[in-house]
Amino acid sequence: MASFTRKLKKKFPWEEKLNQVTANIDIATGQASSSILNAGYKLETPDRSQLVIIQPGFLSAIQRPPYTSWEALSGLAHEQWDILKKVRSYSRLAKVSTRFINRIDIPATKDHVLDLPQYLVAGLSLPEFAQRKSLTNFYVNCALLDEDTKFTNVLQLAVTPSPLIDHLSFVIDIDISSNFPVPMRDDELWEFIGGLRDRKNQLFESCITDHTRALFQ
Amino acid sequence: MTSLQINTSRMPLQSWFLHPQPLRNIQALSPAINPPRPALPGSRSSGELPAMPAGKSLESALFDNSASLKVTVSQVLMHLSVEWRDKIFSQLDRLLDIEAWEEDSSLIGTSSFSTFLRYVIYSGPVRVPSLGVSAKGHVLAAWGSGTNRVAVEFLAADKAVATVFDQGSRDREVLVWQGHIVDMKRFIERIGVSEWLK
Repeated sequence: MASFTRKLKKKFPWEEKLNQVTANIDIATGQASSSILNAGYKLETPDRSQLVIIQPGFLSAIQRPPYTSWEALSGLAHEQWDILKKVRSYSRLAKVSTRFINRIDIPATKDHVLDLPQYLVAGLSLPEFAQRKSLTNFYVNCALLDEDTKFTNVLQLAVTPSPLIDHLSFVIDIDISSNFPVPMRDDELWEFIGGLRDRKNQLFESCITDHTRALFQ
Repeated sequence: MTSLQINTSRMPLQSWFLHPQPLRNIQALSPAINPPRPALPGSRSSGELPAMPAGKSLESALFDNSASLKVTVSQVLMHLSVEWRDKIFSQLDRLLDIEAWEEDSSLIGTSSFSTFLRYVIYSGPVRVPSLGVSAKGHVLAAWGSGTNRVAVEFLAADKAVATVFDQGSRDREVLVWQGHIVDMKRFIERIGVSEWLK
């Protein structure tokens, strides 16, 4: 990991060590022990727009908002993967995933009742009794297995405190992953990862309505 | 935060079929980020005075402060221009520059900074102001120039203190206002100085 981070120093000068701290207290004897284990590194660009996390067995390339394009994000991941291959002997990938977290900001003034189905197709079902109460928060998490591709789709929907005044925000968080054999050849690997992203787009588009799309204009 | 409600009467009633198969650990998502977190904490705490964390070097504290503020900006960047971001980032770099750090300098409070961002987005396009930091870690923003200026101290919990400087017929006039930032926008419009912020 250290040699990988050194290679990235120029583009990602901000380095944070990720430590795993373990503390044990034996109540009977009063003896305590603790240990700190280096669990990886988080590397960031000076403007904090991009980061890379390297942990034993994991490599993540992350683009913070604003998301510019898939090409830019996959290019970032591709670069890091190429560097990792140079510093580490190649081993088969156990899992690849693409995760997109979209926050939707809906204008809503104080005491406004938001008709969420205008914006979200996915949601939750509530019994009539519960519907007479005010829903102020929800969180939905489901894992869906794609029978033909064997991709696992983790879909999470949640209300989140809005960073904007007079808005209500919710998050659509989609993680598409494959635990099944991942192609080893580079061109096939990136095509495969592109396929994960296509599935993400399909799932995202299926969750929202034209009202939501209009907010992106 | 506003007391918003969600109408559930038209929530989709769906038949969910639970397929009995061993679920791989659904929490094992991309290791990068954990389940949805609040995007940007509303500025809730009050009376914050960001203290220099014990055991941390100044350089490390400045780095953490700057990183946290820049991440906060990135979470609402879709409502701001990239040019705006660059100018704000460069001012943050200046305010948290270790070379220019003095004994009475303060770290910037994240709640105050959130209030600042919430205001500039709410009030529509405004010019990038000159930024400063109060001794309490509050963001100070100034718009206008010469005798026509609006200086605002952004507090936690969406509160602010605005001071308007104007040239009267005989002397300089100073008007001080304090309240919620939604009302500050109205106040600035009411006294006819909103153009100074554009």
